[in-house]
Amino acid sequence: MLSSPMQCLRSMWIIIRFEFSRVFLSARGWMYLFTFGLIWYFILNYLVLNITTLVAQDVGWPVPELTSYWRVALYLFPALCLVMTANQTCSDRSRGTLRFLVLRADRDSIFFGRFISQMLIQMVLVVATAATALIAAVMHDGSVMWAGLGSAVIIVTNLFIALIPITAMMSLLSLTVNSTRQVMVLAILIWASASAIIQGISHYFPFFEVFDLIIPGRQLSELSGLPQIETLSLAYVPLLQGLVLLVAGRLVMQRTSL
Amino acid sequence: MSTIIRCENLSKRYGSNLALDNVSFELESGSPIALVGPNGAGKTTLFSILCGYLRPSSGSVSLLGHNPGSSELFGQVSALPQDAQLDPSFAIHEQLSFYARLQGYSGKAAKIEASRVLELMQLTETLASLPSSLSHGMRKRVAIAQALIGKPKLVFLDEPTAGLDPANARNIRQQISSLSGSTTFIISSHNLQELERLCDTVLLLEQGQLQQQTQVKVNTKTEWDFLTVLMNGPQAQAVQDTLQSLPCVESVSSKNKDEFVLKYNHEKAPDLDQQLLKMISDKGWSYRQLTRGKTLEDQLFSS
Repeated sequence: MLSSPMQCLRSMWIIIRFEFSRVFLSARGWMYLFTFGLIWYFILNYLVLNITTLVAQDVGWPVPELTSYWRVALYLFPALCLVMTANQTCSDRSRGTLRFLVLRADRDSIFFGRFISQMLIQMVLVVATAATALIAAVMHDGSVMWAGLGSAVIIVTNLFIALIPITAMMSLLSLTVNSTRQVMVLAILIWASASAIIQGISHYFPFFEVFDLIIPGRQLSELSGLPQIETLSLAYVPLLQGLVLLVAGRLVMQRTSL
Repeated sequence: MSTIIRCENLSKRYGSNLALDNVSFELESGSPIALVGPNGAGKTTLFSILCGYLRPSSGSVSLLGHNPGSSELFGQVSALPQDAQLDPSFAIHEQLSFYARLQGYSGKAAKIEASRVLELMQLTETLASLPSSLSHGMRKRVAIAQALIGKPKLVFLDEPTAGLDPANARNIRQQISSLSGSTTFIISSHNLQELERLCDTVLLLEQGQLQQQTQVKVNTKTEWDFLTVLMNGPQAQAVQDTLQSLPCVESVSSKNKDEFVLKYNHEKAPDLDQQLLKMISDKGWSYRQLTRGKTLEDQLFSS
């Protein structure tokens, strides 16, 4: 018999592999990937590469193609995250499938296994799209290869960190309602209403602006204006948000009725 | 035999509704155990607490000495939860292999185990099927198959044969019987005849309270015993009068025009069943069924 932490890690690994196979080894998953690839092709050709001339003068970003990729990806992936990661546990819970799982894996393994797999799946897409932007840049000018690679690594790291609190928020919301659509609607409602309330109160009490930091993704607008080297200076915001949301999600998962 | 489930003063409240009211019992491993009661009696709530799906509002419960849902019970306790369905995105065999891997099987062994339990449920032809392509009955059999993965010591089955055709219901009863040496089954069902055949112990829940914990087995140590005979044809009054005339018969009651329950002194007439058969033969009557003791239905619900 495996000890409990080892058993937890083993179960998590099995769940992550299973979730990966849902996207990368199933016919439906391939259909999603094909659709995403097609959409990304148009975004890359008609948006990313088209605005390269507009962002070419940006200070601190050596490769224009990756600069424009950064501007687009910074909003595209968080938005995509709302759709992609909404169904972490809600369908399984309403269908009763989680009842089969909790007899074999502890709730932590299921909750964190699903969260990590969603993060990794998004990373595969981020890395793949960043690679296409890098290839486009190198095809245009071969000398930017190493500078572009450095930019791509920083961009991918930033996106990974930026997606943590949003994915964690979806993990938490997925435990509270019964369908993917409800999760997405709830996320948008919470996001919009929290922003509006904080903005409204801050108008009269400026110190209240500090609460802006509790909203996942609030640092994105600031990030887009920073030079490449400074982008990680705001990493503490999403990391702290992600930590708080994951702790809250874990508590809900432990107490939720199945 | 060892204690497999211990519940003490278990209560579960949904808002103002008390679904379980101070339920206490202790069950030992061995023969299948029945959980019966009318709709809304709290059977599924009790199952859900035992499986770790719900937390009790008060009281304590332990399975094999551990709290429900604890990691020590993984692979030892499994269940057929009411209305739970498999993931529609994956083939049956793939999902059961996934569950087997979570229970500790390696990749190849998990596939073999998934095939084994599907074969037990006579579902080998559906290995590559998606759950949505199966009938209700087949989906239920797959759900029972997942409960048999590995060698669980305790299996909860909530209405295992409801909605199944007679042949498949029979197969499930056979599987339960053949596995009940190593696995203790707790079965919730409204089919009392089925439970009577399978189970030795019966828990009766009514309005969230445990009304009875009885043994189905015939108790030969008591003075009074019962015979239940289901006749085929003759006039009810004539049969009742004749049965009443048999020696040592205390009373004869009739539930319906063909079924009679004889209460008799077992010590004075230990071979009354043989006398009864001879009498039926002498009279030229025919009977459909003779049961030692009362039916489970009579045990539970007759006053």
